[in-house]
Amino acid sequence: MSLINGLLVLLVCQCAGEAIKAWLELSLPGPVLGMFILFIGLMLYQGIPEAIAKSSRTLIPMLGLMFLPAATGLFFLGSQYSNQWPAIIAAVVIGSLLSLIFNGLLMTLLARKRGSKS
Amino acid sequence: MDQALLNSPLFALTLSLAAFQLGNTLYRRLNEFPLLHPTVTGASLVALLLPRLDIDYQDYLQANDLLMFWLGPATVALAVPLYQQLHLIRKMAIPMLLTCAFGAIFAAGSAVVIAYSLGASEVTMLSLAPKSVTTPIAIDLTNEIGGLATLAAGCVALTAVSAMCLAPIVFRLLNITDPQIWGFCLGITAHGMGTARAFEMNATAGAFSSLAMCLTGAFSAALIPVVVNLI
Repeated sequence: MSLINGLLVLLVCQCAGEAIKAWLELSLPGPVLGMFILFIGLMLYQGIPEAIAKSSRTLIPMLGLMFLPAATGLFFLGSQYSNQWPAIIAAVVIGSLLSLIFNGLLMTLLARKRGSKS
Repeated sequence: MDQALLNSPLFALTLSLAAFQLGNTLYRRLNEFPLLHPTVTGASLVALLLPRLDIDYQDYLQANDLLMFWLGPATVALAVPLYQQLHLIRKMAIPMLLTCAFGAIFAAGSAVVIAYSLGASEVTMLSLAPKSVTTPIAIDLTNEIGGLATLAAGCVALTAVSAMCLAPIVFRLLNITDPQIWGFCLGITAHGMGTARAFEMNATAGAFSSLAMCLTGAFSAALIPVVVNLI
């Protein structure tokens, strides 16, 4: 039963997120707003009810599976941009590689600076 | 086999789960070699099978609605690890905000510069700019700046897959083992799929990646249209 209670809370938060998105015409996705709502709820409650913890532990490890249908789409992007693909693949793969290096080094540096200060 | 069954959600979900689990088994057998993440090998397997089974990709995607529906509640559920890691997040607030701001600019900028130097069209560059932003935000953003939403969605997924696979290798070479930095940097670059991957390391990496995904999405949504207007 507690799993259902937890899922119910998640769905209610998502509904609230979607409602706020529509109401304020925000460009943030409903589930992200729902996450903020649940986060604020947990702050007010000052803890995590077991039902919510359980639903979270159930869903989060399945994220990789949930992305599979969208990832499959990479193989069906079609030929209409065919002359653009070499540039796109290079920009994405090399760009991501450089981004990971840049972010990793920058954050390590900033975290170390902060560590030595305190 | 009966084409109605092949195009049903029942068969689509069976195919997705089976492909993912096969990918998972392979991944475990090969000591979790980063380039063979089950989301990637599973997707490749499905892509190989669909034409042979005479299933249109759009039909397969639609038949998987039931699976993808749970991305919403799972995103809401990210609030739980975020709350659990709040004490660590508070300590790292400034390094995180700075890395996210520069990282989001770098991600969009590097992609556009590389594409430009290889002679990409303007529409391609505009569709590449939101590549490190989570899909729903990226699509709105692309429409706003005049890119192609379908192309942008492809770029977003390609970014996620390549960064998710490359990150463990890059971070090992750079000797980055702190799960906070590991997760956060993965989240900036590879949004949702990166976050899925970060949770496989541990809950701390996952929470930092979730936060990075939200911050990068919000920051890019605010910044990219302004920069595009200036240029």
